[in-house]
Amino acid sequence: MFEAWLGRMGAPVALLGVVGLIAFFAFPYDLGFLTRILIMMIFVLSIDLVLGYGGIATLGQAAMYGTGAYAAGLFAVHISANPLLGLLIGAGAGAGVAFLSGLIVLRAHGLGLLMLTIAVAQILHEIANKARVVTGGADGLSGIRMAPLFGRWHFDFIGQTGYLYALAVLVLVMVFLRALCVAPLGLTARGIHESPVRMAAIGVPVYGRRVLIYTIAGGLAGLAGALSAQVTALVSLQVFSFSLSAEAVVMLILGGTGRLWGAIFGTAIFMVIHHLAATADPYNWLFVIGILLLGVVYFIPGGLMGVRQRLRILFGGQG
Amino acid sequence: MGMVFNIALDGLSYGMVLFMISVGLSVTLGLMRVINLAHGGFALLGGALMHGLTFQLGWPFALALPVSVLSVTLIALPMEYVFFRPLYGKGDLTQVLATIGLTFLMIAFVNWLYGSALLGIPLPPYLRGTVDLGLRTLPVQRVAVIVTGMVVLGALYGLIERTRFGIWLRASVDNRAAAEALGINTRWVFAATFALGAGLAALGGVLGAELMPIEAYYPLRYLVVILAVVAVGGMGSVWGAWFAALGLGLIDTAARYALPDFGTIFFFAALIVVLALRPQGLSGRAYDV
Amino acid sequence: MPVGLGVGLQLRGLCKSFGGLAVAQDLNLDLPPGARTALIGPNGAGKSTLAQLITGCLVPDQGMVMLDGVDLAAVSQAARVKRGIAKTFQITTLFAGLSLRENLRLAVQEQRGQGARWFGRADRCPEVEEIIEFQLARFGLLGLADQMVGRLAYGQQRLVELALTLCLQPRVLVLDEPAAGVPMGEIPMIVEALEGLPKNLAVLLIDHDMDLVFRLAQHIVVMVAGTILAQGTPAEIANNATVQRLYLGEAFDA
Repeated sequence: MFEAWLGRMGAPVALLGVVGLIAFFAFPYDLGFLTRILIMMIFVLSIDLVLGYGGIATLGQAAMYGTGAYAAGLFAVHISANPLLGLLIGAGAGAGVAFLSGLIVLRAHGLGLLMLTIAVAQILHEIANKARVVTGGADGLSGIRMAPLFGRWHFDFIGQTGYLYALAVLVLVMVFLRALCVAPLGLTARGIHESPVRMAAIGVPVYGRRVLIYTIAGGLAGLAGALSAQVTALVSLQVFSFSLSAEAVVMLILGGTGRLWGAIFGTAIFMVIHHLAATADPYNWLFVIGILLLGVVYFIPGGLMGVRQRLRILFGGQG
Repeated sequence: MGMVFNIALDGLSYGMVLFMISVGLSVTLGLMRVINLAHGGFALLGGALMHGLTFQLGWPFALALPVSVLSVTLIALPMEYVFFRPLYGKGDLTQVLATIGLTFLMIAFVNWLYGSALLGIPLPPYLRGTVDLGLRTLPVQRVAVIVTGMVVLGALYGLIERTRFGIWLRASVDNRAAAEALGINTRWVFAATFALGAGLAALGGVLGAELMPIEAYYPLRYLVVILAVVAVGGMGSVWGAWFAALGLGLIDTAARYALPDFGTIFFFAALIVVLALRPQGLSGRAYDV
Repeated sequence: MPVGLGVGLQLRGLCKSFGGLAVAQDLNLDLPPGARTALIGPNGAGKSTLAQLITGCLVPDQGMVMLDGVDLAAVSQAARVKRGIAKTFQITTLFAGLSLRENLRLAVQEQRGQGARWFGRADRCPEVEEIIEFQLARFGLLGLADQMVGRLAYGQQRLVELALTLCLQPRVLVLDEPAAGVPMGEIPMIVEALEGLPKNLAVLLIDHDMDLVFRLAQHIVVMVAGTILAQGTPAEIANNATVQRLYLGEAFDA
């Protein structure tokens, strides 16, 4: 039974780990950049849970990311530099913010919902900005020195420990999400997405389930934020920015929603192209991403994962 | 007391600008149910065009303004056809992303033309300086903005309540299928309303250039404020947009004066409170949400 | 295990108005276990309103909806489902993008209180799968189990609607025009399914199809303009002159 489980769930995720390790050896001088990609993947996965599975259109997931980042950062500075504890704190903080804001935000729909998610992130941004004494304000929170992981592996400047640490967390998050998505809650999320009316008629407390999904996703976003704080040893106000939320959503759409792997591919492709295009000219980058977005929306609604599915249908009959 | 007056004046003119920019979005949102995040781009285009005409080509303000507004109105028509038609009926997120992509293109376009600098719009002599109203002297520009805002409100009211077009518009917003069944060409109503909204946004962008400077990133920088007005006002409602714009404009300005450290927090807290209590906005209908 | 049947559903003095329009006036109705009651009446008579008052989608201005003597005033729609009140939709409302099996699974897992579980595979709980297989077999849908519901024939979808609702183990079932829009050839299988409903289930059938009504119902309630005009056995209703005049039409001969 374990082999079957491993086979179905393990193989693609193991592949992810392997690819990650290959990248580790292939690009030893770009580990900082690659680590940022890994952290972003976790963040975008959290958005896939909310958006792709739960059908909740959000442009404010950065609220939880930022909360996790500051929580983990402050924890490391003032209480304990244990990285794993810091991750737990970050995830918990993200989940907490998601729960509290979700209670309000999820009463709305459509534009109202979107606005509320944006508003929550903006308020947190401002609070972090004003609370200079605690958060460092616009200068950011610095002085985060992480203790060695498991007491053995130090976080060095080259970023080797950081990268492998992030990779391990990413793999674990993927395992967690894949399990969640085939669990009853995953099916419930898809049901709510398909037809909230029908779900209510089945006796599902739709609002409550949505809050639950939003909270779990918030925890994951907080986890990503915490990871970012620990690995980069700095938390800036950017962690709450609207553009972070918006770009993450774009990455998800690019890759395709509701399949988890879309988050992985979309993030990788977006960040690599961004890296290449933005160094040339920031505004050319806007042209590129604008056209990419329009292309995906108008021509490939399923994102790049959708292309794969279309090709399958084209060449293999039933999709 | 003087400060209260200043807040009122600045807040009102800011609110009027927000109103002009946002009313088009609110109506088209209620009409077509498309979340159009690129709406701020029309304000940008209007401002950029105005800058080019007055600053670079030296046209007089009184001529450049109608030309700019009209041009944006006309450009909006093919844009509606090409970009927005395919979005009708698609999910919230699809619309959000398509319009964000469009916004990026508009920003990149303006940047390609002018770079990332602020695009100043020189005011003609008759709009500079102050006017003496007996009790106090006021900056002419502020008064002009407020007066224009009221005129726009009045004109919209007349259009919607007193003309045939207004009836078609209200019917289409209320129930598109029924309107079609009555022989109303809703496609045309959509296109015309969209263009009108774009033109108003351009007008607002130009008039508000002192408070909200025109530069390439304009649509994203002010996106949240514009969306806030529409969300709080309730989509599809001119009155809602007006009250929300003035209310938010005043709150924002008051917060800036009185609590400069907490201005933005106040703004968003107010937003959250309103939307938490009334997710459909002030004038929105409950089943719209 | 002995099943306490209780008194079933009771409506007492229900009133509902929208603005100045009274859509329900002083409605009284009993639906004991095993009832086979049909609710008929012209369009706009308030039948849908009554159904919505029962399920909790509408809150009455006056009056009570009671299940086994307990007032359901504070009980939400979803909570009423948990207590055993279920209704099928007149316009098929299913999870079109999910498979038939998944549709039923959602209902069963929720009914068993497992809907919020993070762990374990949704499709690996033996008790759940057993119930799904049972319902599929009962409605002859086994062959379609893994098809996307959106792709099924309309008549089959109506059956799925019924199967889905039965997965909730209801004690009171409101059927809102179960055969509406179904092609002639597919109606018999629906009728068969309705005749095979559990004996202890209290069924309220809302329909315009007189053949179906007179075939299934042991008790008929006639509603006109928000009030109950008459109630009785099919024979009594068929012979009721007022009902004939107002609704059944002269052409109807029992």
